[in-house]
Amino acid sequence: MHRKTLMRLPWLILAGAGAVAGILLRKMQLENAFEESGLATPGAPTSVMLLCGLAIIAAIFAMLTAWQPIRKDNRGRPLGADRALISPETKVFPVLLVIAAFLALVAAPIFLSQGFQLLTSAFRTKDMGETVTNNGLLVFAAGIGAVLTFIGLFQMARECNAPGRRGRSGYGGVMPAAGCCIWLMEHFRSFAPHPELWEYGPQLIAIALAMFFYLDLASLASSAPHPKRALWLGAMTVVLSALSLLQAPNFGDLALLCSQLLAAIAVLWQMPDHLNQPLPSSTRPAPREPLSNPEEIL
Amino acid sequence: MEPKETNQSPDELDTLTEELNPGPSAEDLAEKERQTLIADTLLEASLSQNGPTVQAEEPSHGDQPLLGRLMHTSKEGKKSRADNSQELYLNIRSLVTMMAVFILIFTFVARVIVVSGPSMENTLQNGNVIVIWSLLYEPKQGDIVVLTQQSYQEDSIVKRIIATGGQQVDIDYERGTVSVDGAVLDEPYIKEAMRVPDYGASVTSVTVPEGCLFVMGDNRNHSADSRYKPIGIIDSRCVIGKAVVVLYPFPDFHFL
Repeated sequence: MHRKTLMRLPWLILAGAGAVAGILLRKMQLENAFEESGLATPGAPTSVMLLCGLAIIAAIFAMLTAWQPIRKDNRGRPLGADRALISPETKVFPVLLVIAAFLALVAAPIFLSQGFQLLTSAFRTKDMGETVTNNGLLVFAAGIGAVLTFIGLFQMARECNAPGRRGRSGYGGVMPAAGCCIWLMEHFRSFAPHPELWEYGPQLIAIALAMFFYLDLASLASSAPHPKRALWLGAMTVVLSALSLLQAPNFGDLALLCSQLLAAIAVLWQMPDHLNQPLPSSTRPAPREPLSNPEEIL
Repeated sequence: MEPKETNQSPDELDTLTEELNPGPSAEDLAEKERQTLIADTLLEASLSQNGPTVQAEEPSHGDQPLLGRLMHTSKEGKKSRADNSQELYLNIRSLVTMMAVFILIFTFVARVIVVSGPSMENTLQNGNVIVIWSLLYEPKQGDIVVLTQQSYQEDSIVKRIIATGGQQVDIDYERGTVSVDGAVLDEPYIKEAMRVPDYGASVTSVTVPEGCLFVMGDNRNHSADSRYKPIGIIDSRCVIGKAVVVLYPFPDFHFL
């Protein structure tokens, strides 16, 4: 079997299987572990199964992470980590990232319009002398965060076609991370008074995992890369995002969950092979012929 | 002399370059062909991407050659740009990580809320910032808790637990007392003597079902609580947490 396929198959298969298992367990839990009032039945078997299932999936990914071969330089740093995402040959990675970027962009106007509506109603409530509980600013900010996510993912996809720009491929991950941070705050605020943690806990964790995943992608362009951790976080992002899709509160959240799911799948497609076999030097600009007299440069 | 073929990857060459003395003299360059190859590669990369960072000038007798100065300056410029990006990334990473940790703590462990309304006076004032503890909390009689009763309102409310599951609550408005399982409660925390509330005839005697709570505000005459039908008996799973300390305003700081 082709070397690249051998490297990326375990990740993709296990992430897919984990996502399917997560969805099935969550579906069973939603059907059996809640009362009519919406509160969870304490100690419901399906809730316990879901928690155990997620722990097993996390452990399997940890083992796969430990197995993942990574070439290192003479300082013990992962070799070519900064080029682990760049590849002018494959088209799958940039295409998936572009789709993920546009999914994030789709979510932006939804959050912005919701935030605007909440803001206007907050002003009206304040004029009537009543207490404002949610002024919608965080929802508005989440819309801006979705735009940041779009820009960052699009930038990462573009850099696949600029192989000479070494060390820049990961920094695009900072913007989606910032977008996820704002979305995390908005999600928490929307559900803060909700007593039922199962209603919003899984999605909260999915957003937090995606945020740390994007940050670790950005770390690939720094002097302290964490490629293995990025792979583990990406795989867990796929699983948690998939099971959160079942109960996404609105279309904006659904779009952002799909965006981070696709971005994580794209990285699982691209990174495992490139960490084992960094790009050859032919992808870098060819060095000039050495001059016979260095001062001839003038 | 032709440059030697090297089997090292570009990363290893760059690592080697970083370990070299940043300011080789012209004599070193003339003697070592391998250093010339590295220097040319760096200079080309610097000139093609960033442009020369110093003005070209006539080399004077005995001065360090322009090539060495250009390399040194362009390498310093590259390093400082790399350091700035690194620092920016680390700052953003710290901020974002801190935010995520706070939110995860606020969701699963403890959180800070602002009291709105007079129903818990004089124990809690309107605008007080309090810390509530959620992790592994089991509701007990006498605790001040934050809970949500969505049949009443979307937002959460702050009340005191008067009785838990299985207990009998009796309210005597004439004497202004509350009894739990026949024993009159000693309530030094209430604001004023209790009278029939503004929302009309309310619960005066109830047995709290298992897994439920009976709650009342300390400001008995201005509190919508379990005596009020839209709120009624509260499921203990609706409790978000127990209020433990008043944080703000600072003169009002005290443990509850």
